[in-house]
Amino acid sequence: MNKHNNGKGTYVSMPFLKEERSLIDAITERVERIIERKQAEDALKCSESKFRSYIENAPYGIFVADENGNYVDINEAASRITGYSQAELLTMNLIDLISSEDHEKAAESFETVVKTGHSTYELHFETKDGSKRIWVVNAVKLSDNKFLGFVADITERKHADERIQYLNLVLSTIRNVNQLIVMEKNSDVLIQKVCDILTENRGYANAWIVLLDEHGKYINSAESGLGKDFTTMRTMLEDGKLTNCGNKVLKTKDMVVTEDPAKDTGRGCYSTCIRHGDNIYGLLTVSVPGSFIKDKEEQDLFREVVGDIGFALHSIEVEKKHKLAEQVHIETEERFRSLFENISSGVAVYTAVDDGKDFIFIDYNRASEQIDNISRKEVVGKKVTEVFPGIRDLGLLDVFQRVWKTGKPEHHPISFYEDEMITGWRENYVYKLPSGELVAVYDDVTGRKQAEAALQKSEEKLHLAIEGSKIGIWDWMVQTGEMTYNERWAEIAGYTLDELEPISIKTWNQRVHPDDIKRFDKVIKDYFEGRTDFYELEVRMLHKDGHWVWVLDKGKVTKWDPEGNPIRMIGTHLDITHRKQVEKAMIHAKLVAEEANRNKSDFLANMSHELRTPMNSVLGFSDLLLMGEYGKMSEKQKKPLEHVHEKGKYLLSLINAILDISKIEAGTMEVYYERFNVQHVLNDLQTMMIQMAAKKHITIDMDVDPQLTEITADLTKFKEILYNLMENAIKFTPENGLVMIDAIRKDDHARISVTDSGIGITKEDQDRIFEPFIQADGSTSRRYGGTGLGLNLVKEYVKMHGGSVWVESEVGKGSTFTFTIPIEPAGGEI
Amino acid sequence: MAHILIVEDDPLNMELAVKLVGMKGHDVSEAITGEDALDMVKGSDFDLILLDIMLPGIDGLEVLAKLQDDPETAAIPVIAMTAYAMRGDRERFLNAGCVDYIAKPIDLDEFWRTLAKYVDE
Repeated sequence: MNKHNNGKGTYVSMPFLKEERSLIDAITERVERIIERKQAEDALKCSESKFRSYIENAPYGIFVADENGNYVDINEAASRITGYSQAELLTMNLIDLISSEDHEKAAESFETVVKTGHSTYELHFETKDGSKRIWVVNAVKLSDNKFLGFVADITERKHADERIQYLNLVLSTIRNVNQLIVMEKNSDVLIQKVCDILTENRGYANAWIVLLDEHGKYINSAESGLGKDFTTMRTMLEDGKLTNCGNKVLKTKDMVVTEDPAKDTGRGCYSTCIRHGDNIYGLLTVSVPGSFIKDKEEQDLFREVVGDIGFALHSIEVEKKHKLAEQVHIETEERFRSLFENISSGVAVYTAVDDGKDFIFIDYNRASEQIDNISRKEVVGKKVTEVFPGIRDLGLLDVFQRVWKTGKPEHHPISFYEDEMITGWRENYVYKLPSGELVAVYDDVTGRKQAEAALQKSEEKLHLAIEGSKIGIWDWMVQTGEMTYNERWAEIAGYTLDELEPISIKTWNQRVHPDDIKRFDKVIKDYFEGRTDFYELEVRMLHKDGHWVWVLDKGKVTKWDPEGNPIRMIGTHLDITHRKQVEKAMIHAKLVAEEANRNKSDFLANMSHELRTPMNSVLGFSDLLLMGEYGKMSEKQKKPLEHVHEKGKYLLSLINAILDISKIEAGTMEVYYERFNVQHVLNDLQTMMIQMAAKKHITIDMDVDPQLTEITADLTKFKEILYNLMENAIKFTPENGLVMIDAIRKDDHARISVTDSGIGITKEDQDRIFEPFIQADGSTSRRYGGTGLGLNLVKEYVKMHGGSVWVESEVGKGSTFTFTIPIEPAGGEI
Repeated sequence: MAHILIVEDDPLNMELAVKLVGMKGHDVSEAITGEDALDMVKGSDFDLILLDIMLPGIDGLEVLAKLQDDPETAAIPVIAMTAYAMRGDRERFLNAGCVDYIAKPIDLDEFWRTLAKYVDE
C-alpha cells in the first residue's frame, strides 16, 4: 500500500523546479543589473549585441513584450516551446497563447507586474499544435515600459505533481477502506461505506457496488457520487441484469478497464469482481480520471483495494457461518473444553509465528500445568522457545515446524526433555488444526520410563541369559504378521538377522517343512481357541545349507483383544536337532533291540518246541513201557527204564529252567499279575510237597499271619518261588527233620520264610548261591540233585515283583530263605 | 467209542498218540500234514481232532481256522496237542478256538483225563 512512496525520478522534480526558479531569478537579477548598467552607460552599445547573443542562445524561452502585451522580441527557445516561429510570435499578443480558462488569471498577473515590477505565474498555454501545456513565467517590468519574460515548460512536472497528490488520495482511500474492513461486520453497511470513502476522499468521482450471492443473484447494491443516475441501474440489477461490462468481469473474473465510454467526460472506469479465492461476492465499478486510467500502478492499487474488500466480505461471511456454527455447537464446544481441561494428557495449542519457525501458546490445559509445573497464565501468549528453551534439543521444535508446514500429524517418540527448570521424559503427538493452529498432546512418561528402564535392565539380563542358553526368541504381532527375532533365532537356521530382512511371519512360514506347517496350523488353532494352555510343537526348519533343523517351538499369547483374539505372542526356539538325532538313533536301537528280542523270543520258543518234541517220545514211551503196554517187564529191565524216565523228567525240568532263565536274560519274561489268596496257595503247595517230604519223614510246619490274605502278583512265579525254596529245604533237610514256613504281613509286603534244619551254607557261599548253575558245593549236586538254576529263578522272579530275597544260615544248623513281595504291585498295574 | 483224527507230523509222536487214543478203544485216523487233515475231514464223521500246531505246510492254527470256516466241520472239537508249552501258549490256542490243550511232553494221565471230557470211552 505504500509503494507509491518509494519516489520515482519524476516525483522529485519539484525541488528541481524551485532550483530552476532560483536560477531564473538569478538570471533576471543579473539581466536587471546589466540593464541598469546599460541605462547608466548608454554609450556602451556594443554590449547590447552581447546581451542579444546571450538571450538568443539561452536554454529558456525569453521574450520581450510591450505595454500592450505584443511580443517585440522572442528568442529561439521560446519559439521551440510554443511551436510558433519567431516571426509568427512577433505578430502575436501574450494573451493569444494563454488558454481561455486562464485569461482572467493572466490579466491579474499582468497587473501585478505593472504595479510591483515583477511577478511569477503558472498558466495554461496552448501551443501551435493545440496541445495544452503549463508554463511558469517570470516577468519583470523594464524601464522603457516593456516587459521581459522567462518561460519554462513545467507541464510534465506539473502532471507528476498532480499524480502524486492523486495517488496520495488513493492511498488514503485504501487506508480508510482497510480501517473500515477491520471495523465493519455488516456487509450492507460495508459496501455503502466503501463507496462513500472511494468518492468522498475524492479518489474517484463515483463508485457503485453490487452484491451477488453464490449463484450470481442480486443481494444488494450501494453507490456514491451517482445519486439519481444510479436509479435505472439499480432497477436493472434488481431484475438480475448486469451491464455488459459487468458480465465481462464475471466471465473473466478479472478487472475490466473502460476508457472514457462517453468520449467527452475525460473519465474512464474500472470494473472488477469482488472475490476471495473462488468465491465471488459482487462487482465494484469506479470512475477514474482519464489521465490515470491506464496507469498500471493505479490499477494495481485498485485491485488491492478490491482484494481487501473481497477479503472483508469473505471474513464477514465466514464469521457469520462461524457464529451460526458456534451457536449450534456451543454445547459441544463446552464438552470439548471440559475434555480439553480434564484429559489426563497435556494439551497445548499454538499459533505459528516467524513463518512457522516459532510458536506461541494460545491454550494450555490443566494437565499441562501439572506436567510442566507452570500455570496457564505464564505461558499463553508466549513463544514456546521462551517458555521451554529445551524444545529445540528435544527435537520437538523440528516436529512442530514440519507438522505446521506439511499438515501431517506426527508422533514424537518418548524423549528426554531438559531445561533449567524441569526435566522429564515426554511423548508428543502433534497435529495441525484446519485453522492452522498446532496442537500438541503429550504425556509425562517419566514414571513409565523409569519402570521401563528397570524392565530393560531385567530384560537385558534375561537377554544375556537367553543368549547364553542358545534359545531363539520370537515376538509375533499376530494380527499384522509383524515379527521380531533375536540373533540366535536366525542362527539356528544358519543366518544372521540381517540376512533374513525383511522379517515377518513369512520368514518362519516359508522355512517350515510342508508337513509340519499343517501340524502347526492345527496346534496353533487349538491354542488360540482355548483348547490348549500353551503352544508347543516340534517342527523342521530349512537351514541355509539346505538341510532340516529340528526346532522345539513354544509360545504363549501375552496380549488378547476384547474379542479373545490374540494380539501378541512370544515364544522360543530351541534347536533340538541333536536330541532328535539321538532320539532317532535310540528309536532305531530300540527297534533293533526289539527285533533282536523278538528273534530271541522266537528262538527260545522254537528251542523249547524242538526240545519238548523228542522229550514227548522219550517220556511217553518209557511211561508206556513201565506200564507194561508193550509186554510185562522184569524188575531187572524195569530199573534202568525207570532211570531213563526219571532222568528224562529231570532233563525236562532242566530245559524248562534254562528256557526261563534265557527268557529273563533276554528280557522277554513278563509278569502276569492276578489277585489270589496266599493262604490257599500255601496250603496247596504244602499238600503237593507232603508226598516228597514224607519219603524222608520230614514234617512241614506252616504259620500264616491272618493279616496276610490276598495279594496281587504273578501266581505261577509265586508258586515257582515257593516250590523251589520248599523243594530245596526238603532236599537239604536230613530224614526226620523239620521244614517251617512262616508267612507274615509286614507293612505293604508279604514276607515268607522257608527254614530247613539242613547242612547250612557258609558265609562265602551265601553270596553266590543265587547265581545260575551254582550249588554251594560242586559235590552237592551229585548228592542232592537239582539243576542249580532254582535259586537263580527265585531271585529273578522276586526281583521282577519288586521284592527281595536273602538267606540266613549257620553251617550244620540249617538255613532260612526269606523273600518279600509287595501286596500290590508298585504303580497299581494289574 | 469215537472217531478221532490225529494230526501230527512227527512219526514217533504220532505212534505214541495213536497208542494212547487206541488204548481207550477209539477209532483213529492219522494225518501227517494240515492239508491232509482238511481233505480227510470232508464228508467224514470225526468226533474229535487232536491237532499238532507246528506242521509242515499250513500250520495247526490255519487248519483250525479253515475247519471253523467250514460249516460242515465247524462243530468238531479240536484239542491242541503241541510242544508249544511256554507261558501264554495255552491261552493263545484256546483263544484261537481249540476246546482244550495238551502240552508235550504228554503227561499220560492228563491226556486221558482231557480226552474223556470230549468223547465217551
